[in-house]
Amino acid sequence: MNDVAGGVSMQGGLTRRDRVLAIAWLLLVIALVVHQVQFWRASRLDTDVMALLPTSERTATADRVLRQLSDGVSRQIVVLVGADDWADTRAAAQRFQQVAAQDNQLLAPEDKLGAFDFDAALAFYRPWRDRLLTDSQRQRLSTTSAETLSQQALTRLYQFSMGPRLTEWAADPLGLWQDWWLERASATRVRERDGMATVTGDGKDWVLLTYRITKPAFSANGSTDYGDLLHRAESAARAGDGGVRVIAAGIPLHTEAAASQANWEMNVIGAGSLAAVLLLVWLAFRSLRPIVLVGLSLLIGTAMAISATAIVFDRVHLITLVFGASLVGVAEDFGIHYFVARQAMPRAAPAAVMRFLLPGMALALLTSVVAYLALGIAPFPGLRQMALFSAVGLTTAFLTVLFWFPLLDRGTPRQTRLSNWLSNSLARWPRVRNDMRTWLALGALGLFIVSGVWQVRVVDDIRQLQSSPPALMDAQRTAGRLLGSPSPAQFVLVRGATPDEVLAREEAVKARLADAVGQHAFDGFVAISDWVPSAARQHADAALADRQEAAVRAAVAKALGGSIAAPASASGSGALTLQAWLANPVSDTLRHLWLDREGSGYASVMLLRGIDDAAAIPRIAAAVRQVPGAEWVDRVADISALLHHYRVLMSWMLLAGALAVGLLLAWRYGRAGWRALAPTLLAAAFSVAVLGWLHVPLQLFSVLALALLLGVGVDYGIFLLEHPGDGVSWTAIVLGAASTLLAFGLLALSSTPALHAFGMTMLSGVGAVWMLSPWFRPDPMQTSSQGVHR
Amino acid sequence: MMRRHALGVIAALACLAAAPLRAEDLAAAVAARLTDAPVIRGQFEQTRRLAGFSQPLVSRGDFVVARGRGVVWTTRQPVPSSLLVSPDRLVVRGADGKIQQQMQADAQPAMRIVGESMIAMLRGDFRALSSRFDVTGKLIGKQAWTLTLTPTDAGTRRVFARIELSGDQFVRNVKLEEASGDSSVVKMIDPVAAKQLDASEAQRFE
Repeated sequence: MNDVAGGVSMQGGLTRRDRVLAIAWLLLVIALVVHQVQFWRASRLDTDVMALLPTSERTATADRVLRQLSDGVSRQIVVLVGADDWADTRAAAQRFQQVAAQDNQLLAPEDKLGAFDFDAALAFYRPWRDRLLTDSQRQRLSTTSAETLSQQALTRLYQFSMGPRLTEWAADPLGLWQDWWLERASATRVRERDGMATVTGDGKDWVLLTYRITKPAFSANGSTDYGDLLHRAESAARAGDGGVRVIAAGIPLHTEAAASQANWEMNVIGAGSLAAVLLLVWLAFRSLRPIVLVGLSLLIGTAMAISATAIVFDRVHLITLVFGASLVGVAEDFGIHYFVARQAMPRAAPAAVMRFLLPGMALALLTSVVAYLALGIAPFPGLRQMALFSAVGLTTAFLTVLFWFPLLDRGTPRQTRLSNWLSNSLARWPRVRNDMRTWLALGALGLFIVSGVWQVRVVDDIRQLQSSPPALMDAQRTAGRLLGSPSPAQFVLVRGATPDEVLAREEAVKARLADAVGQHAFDGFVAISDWVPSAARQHADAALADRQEAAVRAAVAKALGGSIAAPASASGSGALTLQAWLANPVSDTLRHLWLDREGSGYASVMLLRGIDDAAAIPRIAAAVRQVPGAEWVDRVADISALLHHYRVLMSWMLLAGALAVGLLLAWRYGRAGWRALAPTLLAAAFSVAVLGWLHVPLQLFSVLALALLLGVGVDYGIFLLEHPGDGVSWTAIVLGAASTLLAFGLLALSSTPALHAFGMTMLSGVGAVWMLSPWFRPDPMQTSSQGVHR
Repeated sequence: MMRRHALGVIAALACLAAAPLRAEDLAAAVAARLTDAPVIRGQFEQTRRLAGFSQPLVSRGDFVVARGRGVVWTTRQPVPSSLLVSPDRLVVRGADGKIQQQMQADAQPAMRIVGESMIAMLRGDFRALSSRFDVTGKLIGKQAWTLTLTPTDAGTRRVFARIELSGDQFVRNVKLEEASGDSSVVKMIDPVAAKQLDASEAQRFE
């Protein structure tokens, strides 16, 4: 083993300043422990994907709407049980209900049908019946003559009497009200049959069962109580009947799956990386002390990172924790480097070793922290959390090594076979030279890279952040389609100076999109103006209906030759106002569409039902934009555009960053600086090529991984330049790179596409840097770089 | 004394013969008395009394009930029109044959219930009705019967308050009392059983 220090004296113990710093650090760590205990007890963890996304002034309203829409259903689970035959469906549904009811603590059935009091609704709307017309009725009343209408009324009177009559004949001679109610009912595909809520679709009859969860779906230990219960109930429903299908959907299921998945991933990645690191430390040092100390630095680093994130952001997102679990593989670099140096200089005092390593380690820390902080440039709260987490974690681990290791490390480090073998292997590693072999190797590499990059395809999609299992996403989509639920991601925001202006503008939007509905681009709207027409429309409709109905009444009375009593209930005075409607229980299901005061006026939301074809959306959006005061909101497209924008931005910043790092290296190492930068740049290109060859799409997170690679990969070059020909540094690099590879390799196992891409990029990138750095190392005989210890 | 006693016994026996039976037995017994033919056709006279109307509305026409197809109800006087009620839809045509109103049962299951009830009533298929109605009534003599149907579920109760039927081998009288207070009395005149629909009738079921 080379004695790197050569003739320089490596004596000198701990100074007073060192002790003071060590004690100050201890106090900080104690405060940290207290905070951590508080944090985990309060469990302020986030699972909502929307929390990762940025908000802006412009989107604040849209986000408020989305939150309002999802609040109402955030505790609801919806189950569809279907079979080809109604009798089979009903039997299967009853079996399902039996099993689901067994565990009363979990799911409370909700009776959606019973909740709607039709008689109360009739009583509420009756005074304004003559103002509530459907579009086709308005058309018919204004174009058909009174004689024709009277003839039709007479025909109906003389027909076989059937059908529910909602009022006496004289009050509604043309039978308009029933059709109005039928049109309102068509807003949902759910119907009542034999006392159950049913839907027809996909060639089957389905029963709709609604449940409310009784305890929070998010569980810190990752158990999937709701998923398991539904699974048991599904088996019961399908017992003995192959044609039965069960679809379960709802926000609590996603939350539960996300928590369970994240729990598993954190355990695997965190524990896996930790175990791998400690195993390497054991193999390299064969002593307990390095393991304990390195483990301690990692633990304190992670804890400090969690606390800092919790303090700054108030809530920590699960994705941050999963990502942070991979930090273990990077933060151990400092501890390992220290012990490797100690192993190489067994007679030097720990404090002196620390001072010897400080400049190189500090520079490495600086580049890594800057690289991680670069993740936070994009205004995504999720990325900013990850950036802060990683930067704080790394710095803390470094400071722990700096302040405590010299103090706590005693005794002589052992020489191990692994360390010896590793440090000797550096000399045998090929080096870049101006010869045929080098140029051939570079050429082959170049070919691989170019052809790989050629195959890369780019994806900017919010679905990168979605970590729910595909089966659950599928079920959600199918349930939405069968129920005809309006899409929550796209809607129309209507603004106006007064509530009535908002309603009038809603009607304008509906009129503008009437032919789109006719062409089946979508099924229709869910809007408040369906139930409460604007004052102007109410007035016009009342005048039209009253006129025609009076004429019909007179004509029928004449034809019958008797008299017909005038309607008992007089029309309500004035118009149906929005305030009255909002105050009455009939508005329960739609009240959340009214946003009330918004900015300087009022606003409401119109939802679209049954958008099956994504290609129709641009046309609908264009039509909506033509109506003054109406805004088309598509959060999915917004986010995708944002991801695209930042991917492009980060790519340019990456180039700027490479330039900056190059300048920094040139400042410290002069002309030899390119030797540290070249391997990283080649490795970055290599990892992009690997993505292309593996058909993994390139996205924002891959670019962020490249930024991180720049910071981390340059470290290896720096260490090789700092201590040229030094097998010790090489050992540290090998051990460090191995643990980093393992940590990010495990991250690639994540089911969140973004983290998976991140892990893959880092895996191939770090692997390449590891191989290429020694290839580019300087010849120790020719070293003339400034500021290098010798 | 003896005669009075004998009269009493005869009266009791007569009452026994007309004693109300249990619902299922009653429905079965009435079904046994009805002619179960694939097609029944005849004429009708309907009298409707609507609240607020000083005169009743009287209409006449003919009808065809076909097993599995539904009912075609053609009003000829005073205003011609036709109504088709089948298990999956309901179509009203005016005097000119043009469709005035159409409803699909799978879009409006509520209408399906009313349509099914109506078909069942006219065909005398009371077993189908007993799931939604309470059936009471009695058998009279060897052939006649009367039934009173009271709805059991809220949806049906919103349409009908009570239905009274009477007949022998055919349903002859239907009295519908609607929840709104209106009532209709329908008299079937000269009902005739047949094996199948003739060509013009079959076309009207399309």
